Amino acid sequence: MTADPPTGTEPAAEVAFRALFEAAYDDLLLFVERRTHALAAEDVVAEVFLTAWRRLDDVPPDLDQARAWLFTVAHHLLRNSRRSDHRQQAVALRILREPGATDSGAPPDDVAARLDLTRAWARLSPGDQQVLTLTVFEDLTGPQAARVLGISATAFSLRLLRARRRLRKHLTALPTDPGATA
Amino acid sequence: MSSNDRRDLDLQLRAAATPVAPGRVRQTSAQALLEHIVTVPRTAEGAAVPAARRSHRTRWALAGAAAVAVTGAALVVPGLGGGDQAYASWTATPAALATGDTRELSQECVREKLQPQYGYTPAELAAAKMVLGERRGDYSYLSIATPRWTATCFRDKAGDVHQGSIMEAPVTDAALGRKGVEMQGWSQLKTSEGYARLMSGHLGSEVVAVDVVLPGGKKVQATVKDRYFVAWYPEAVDAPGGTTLTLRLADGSTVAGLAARDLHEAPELD
Repeated sequence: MTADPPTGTEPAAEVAFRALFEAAYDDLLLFVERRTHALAAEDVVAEVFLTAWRRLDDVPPDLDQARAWLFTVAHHLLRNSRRSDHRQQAVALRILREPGATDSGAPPDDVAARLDLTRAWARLSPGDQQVLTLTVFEDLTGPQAARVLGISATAFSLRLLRARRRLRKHLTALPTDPGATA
Repeated sequence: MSSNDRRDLDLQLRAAATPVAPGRVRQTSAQALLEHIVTVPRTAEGAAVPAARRSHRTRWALAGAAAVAVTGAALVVPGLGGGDQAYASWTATPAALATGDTRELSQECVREKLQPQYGYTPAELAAAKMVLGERRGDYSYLSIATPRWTATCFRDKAGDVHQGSIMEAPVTDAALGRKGVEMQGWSQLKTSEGYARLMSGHLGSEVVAVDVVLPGGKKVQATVKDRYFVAWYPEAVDAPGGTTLTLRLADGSTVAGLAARDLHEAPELD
């Protein structure tokens, strides 16, 4: 038994939206949390899903593409917010991993490596962090990530290449941990 | 960097990331949000446009009002000119932006904002269909319309350049006909003085003037030239919606009550 749909809303639309919400909520929340304060994240997610509900005809039917569509909307909401707040230069992406990814029980060497990665990450520009996050954590294809940023796929590939190079460079340039060499 | 190096680096990055709790969609707040959204009529605001008229182009720029709501209240409440309020020198009637100022602002905006963020080039600016600017008090504002994209740029009282919004795949002159209008830019910008609403658009061939009518009834005269318009006004972050446009046609008639936000969702085609 299903609830009656609200007046003016076709049942198929509600069913499709519920499926989208259930499938993409966690990923979208994580996407936003990587880019803004956790306390503000749920508000942004709410705005993105409300946009998706109102523009459901524009949301791609394929879940993978729909997820990228939601990310695009969120990206632009956040960008407008940062631009309005003059915080554009200060934004650094937090590296948060989705649930279910392998982790736990890392040996001490890995802990040191993580610290190095975290420090190297912090040295990257927000732009470099952005392209790496879209690829490594959000698992978007190049064209999808390019669409999120509003740039060409070629330009995205180039930015990604440079970001990886700079991350590697920062990693190798980090001073050796005295504790590790003693 | 080889593909193995890239894969290793990606794996290291993932290993360094902080995990989050699973299944947050099942939390009460998420489910309450879902139940709330599906009670919202889809016919409101953006969805009011009949499907047959909806464009399938990508509109990258989003209205900023909801976005800024998550960032907290503005420190300065903008006014509509006068006294010691923010944007005190702002005027409801625009003045022309000098050619040199237009060139300088547009070039600076492309170089510093649009090219790094979106790959829009000075060559595209040079080939733009229209670069339309205006001055209101201490502030300069312009839109750049190219065949591929449009963008707005704003210079605040301190001289800092801000990029307002972008939109890709604007409609053609033919699609707008005699009295159509496409809202190409509709964003809320924050400067050191608080928030401002920026707009820009493309008009049908018979539209000779545009009035922006704010929710309180105050009118803001837009700058109009060769089928394009720009306008902006101070607007509090929590300002109520309801701004409309009135188009004045060459034959003396008007088209009033066009909801600005709806026009940003989809153009009014003739």
